[in-house]
Amino acid sequence: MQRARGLEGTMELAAGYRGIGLSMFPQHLSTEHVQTKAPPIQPPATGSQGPLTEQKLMDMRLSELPVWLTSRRLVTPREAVAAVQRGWLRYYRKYIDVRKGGIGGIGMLLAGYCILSYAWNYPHIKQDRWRKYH
Amino acid sequence: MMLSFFDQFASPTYLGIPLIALALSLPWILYPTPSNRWLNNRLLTLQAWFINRFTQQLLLPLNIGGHKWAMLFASLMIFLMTLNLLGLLPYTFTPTTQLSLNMGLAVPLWLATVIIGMRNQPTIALGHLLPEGTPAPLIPVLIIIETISLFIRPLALGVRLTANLTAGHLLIQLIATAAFVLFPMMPTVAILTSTVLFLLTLLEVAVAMIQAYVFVLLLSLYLQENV
Repeated sequence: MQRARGLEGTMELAAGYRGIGLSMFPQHLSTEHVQTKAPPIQPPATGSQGPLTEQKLMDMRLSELPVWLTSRRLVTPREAVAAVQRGWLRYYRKYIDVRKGGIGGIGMLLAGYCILSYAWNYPHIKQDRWRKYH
Repeated sequence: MMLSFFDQFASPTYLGIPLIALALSLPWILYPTPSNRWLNNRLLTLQAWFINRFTQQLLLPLNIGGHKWAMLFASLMIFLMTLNLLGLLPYTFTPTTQLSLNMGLAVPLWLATVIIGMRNQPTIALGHLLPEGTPAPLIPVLIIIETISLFIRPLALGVRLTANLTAGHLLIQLIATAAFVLFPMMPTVAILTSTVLFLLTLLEVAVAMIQAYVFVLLLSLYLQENV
């Protein structure tokens, strides 16, 4: 709670003023009654679907993903790079840049890399299927 | 169509982008920039410790002129080691199995050391072609031999790295295929083969790190002669 020096005379803090002390310095003023935060807004009802393009990526369902990707307003490459940078920073701050990070932060990255490499290689690997005669 | 064992060394393209592009840029992501906090996260602490130890060890025999190469050696070592180790993960591509990449790293760096030596101290650089204490009749032959060995250095650097990694990957694939095929027929032999495969994978992890270290160490030795 901040000390409000010099504000004893104002109307807002008059109700919390604790009386005249013997020292020259103002007393500690309580400001609980001062409304500093806005009252909490009702959260939107679950399942409410606003416009599809305005929702964030994490709120989307998997089946809605292609529609979401194509209906975003066309982004410049700079915005795309900035978005990728922000996504990476979110991941980094959540899993790696912590005081006691474990192997999971890097492990998830490497697992994703393996899966991406598999998907990259798949058109070539699928030719090596089980056959009766090689 | 059955895939040959060498298909793992061909970089496949997807949407026009070869996988080697992703494989070459991944080490950049895995090593974050140190922040100016007093206590960093564990990854940054490990990274800083390793780079400091390695650079101190590598630059010990070099004089002050060679210390200009410190950042190059440290980053080259980290890059090569990461590329080699990441290639051991399943389905990934190892760029250092490509001779073109290794020669592209070895030839310019070796040539830089030779040119530095020839420009700054040509007598000493040429003097390395004749070891001390050779008997007089052997001198012409030895100079020819030493010149050949000087020019074969970049080739050896590049081919050493390529051959070690390619051979390792091929062995892993061969033994894994053998274990996989043997399993329905002779399970005991398949288990033995799997044990060999496990030991080989451990060896490959070691080889990945050692080969990167040897590459950079030899470059530092060549620099030491010439600076």
